[in-house]
Amino acid sequence: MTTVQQIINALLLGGLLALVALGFSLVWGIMNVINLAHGTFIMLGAYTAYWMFSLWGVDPFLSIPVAMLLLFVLGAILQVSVINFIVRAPVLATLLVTFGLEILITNIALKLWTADVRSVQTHYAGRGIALGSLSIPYNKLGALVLALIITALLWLFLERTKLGRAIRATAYDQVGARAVGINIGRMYALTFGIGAALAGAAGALISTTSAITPMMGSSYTIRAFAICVLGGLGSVTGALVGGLLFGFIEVFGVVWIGPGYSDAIVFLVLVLVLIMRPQGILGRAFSAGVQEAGGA
Amino acid sequence: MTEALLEVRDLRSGYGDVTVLWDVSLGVRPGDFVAIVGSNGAGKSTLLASVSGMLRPSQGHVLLDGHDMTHSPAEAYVRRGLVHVPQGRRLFPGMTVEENLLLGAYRRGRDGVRQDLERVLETFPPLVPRLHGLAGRLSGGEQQMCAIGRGLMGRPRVLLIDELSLGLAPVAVDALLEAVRRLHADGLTIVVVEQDVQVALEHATVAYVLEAGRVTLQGSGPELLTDPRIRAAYLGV
Ligand SMILES: Nc1ncnc2c1ncn2[C@@H]1O[C@H](COP(=O)(O)OP(=O)(O)OP(=O)(O)O)[C@@H](O)[C@H]1O
Ligand SMILES: [Mg+2]
Repeated sequence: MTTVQQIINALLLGGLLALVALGFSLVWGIMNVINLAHGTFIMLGAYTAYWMFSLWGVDPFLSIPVAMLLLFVLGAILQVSVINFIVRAPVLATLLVTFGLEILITNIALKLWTADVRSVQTHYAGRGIALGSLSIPYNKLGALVLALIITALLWLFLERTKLGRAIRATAYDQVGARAVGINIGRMYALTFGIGAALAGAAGALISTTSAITPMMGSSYTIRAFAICVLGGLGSVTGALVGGLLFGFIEVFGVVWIGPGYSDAIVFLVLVLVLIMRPQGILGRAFSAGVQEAGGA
Repeated sequence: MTEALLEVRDLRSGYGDVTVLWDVSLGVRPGDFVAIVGSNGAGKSTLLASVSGMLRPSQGHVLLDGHDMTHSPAEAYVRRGLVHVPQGRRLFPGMTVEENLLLGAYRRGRDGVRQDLERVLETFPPLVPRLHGLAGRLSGGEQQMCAIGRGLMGRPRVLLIDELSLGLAPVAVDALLEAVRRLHADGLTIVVVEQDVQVALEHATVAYVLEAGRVTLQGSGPELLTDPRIRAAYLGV
């Protein structure tokens, strides 16, 4: 494979990974919850697309809104019933609870759908745009484009709408937010729901390119974590930059070190970044506010 | 007596098992400029928080326009026209001044928000050049202007200000006092907690002295200003 092809692959992967990390980053930045169950939401999004495809022949790209809606509802319910007790709790408590959720959801998926590896075989799978020796698979290109669109929409929502502003305000100062009449609990339910919906969208996109199993989630959680650390916490641009960077690291890491090491590469990068630049590459957009509000 | 805008009856409040306020009663009529004074830890902030839905009272009643609001959340108070400017400003530091101000209108419809923003900027001209800068970069005085401006964006009928001048430079204090006095002259009802007792009592139509969670003295500002107990305890004369 040529270097140009690898750069293309890295971009295709990176854009998708940005979406994988986006919801995780949002929840971490706004609620200070490191959601280890994030990957299971991706898995559920992938299964949504899979069942829509195999039962009714719905194209996985068209399943995205359905996956997002289902996951939004699940996320909001989980927030109100479980996560609400660990918002701004010590990190260990959030890790324990969300890890428990991850095990629970994975096992329910195993019971319901068995450990069989599944995949979505669309008619355009394996086909793509060929430019000389270069190839860009349709499904990966579509996944990249949609990932970027959804990322841009989230950015617009957070920056330009009243509700998005209220969500950010909640992260900066809870007392100030309540003083202007923002219902904090509702913002958290919304944030966690959106985080889950973004994971659902990522899962539906991933279903077009990767194998689907109940255990597929955890490797995405680790990637999301590494991307947040890399790009900086809680900002859309951080997730985008971190995701793209990560695409390159993974693609070129596999080329230089060898296939089968991608998880090892993820960990290596994570450790290196944590040692050298604990605040991430773009700094920490939300965490200053989070600490201030949490410490008051 | 005119119908009270805000009425507090035998209010008890605190944090967990610790009671801070003991059977506090007070009334705020439309057009009042109420000052609440008291030493550190007397419970002034707890009082304001308890009559704005920021803190749930354990006993007693808070009435706004005669409606029982005792167990209502802060958003319900805001919707009914009572806005609390908390101690320490509690701005959103990583957001622009404009965003902070617009968030003050969170509980309202879009109508008139832009006009209100203009009016806030007329009230606090130093905010104009800072509008698109981050609130976290403002000076202390500008932050307080932004906090009061944010409160005004909610179109309050009663504005509670906790520590108007604490930690601010004298110039900033003068500007803020002047602005608050003008707001009052324009018909806004104001309740202010102020550590500068002299200044607070000079302006107040009604003042309450809070000691260890109880109201120990009340009267008009000028009345209390000449009260020997106040002069000894708070004015050092
Ligand atoms: N969040 C809290 N949790 C527990 N106790 C608190 C809390 N906030 C205040 N207190 C206690 O309640 C009492 C009254 O505090 P409050 O902040 O209402 O006083 P204050 O009159 O506003 O004082 P200051 O002039 O310092 O602002 C104090 O003894 C304080 O230690
Ligand atoms: Mg106080």
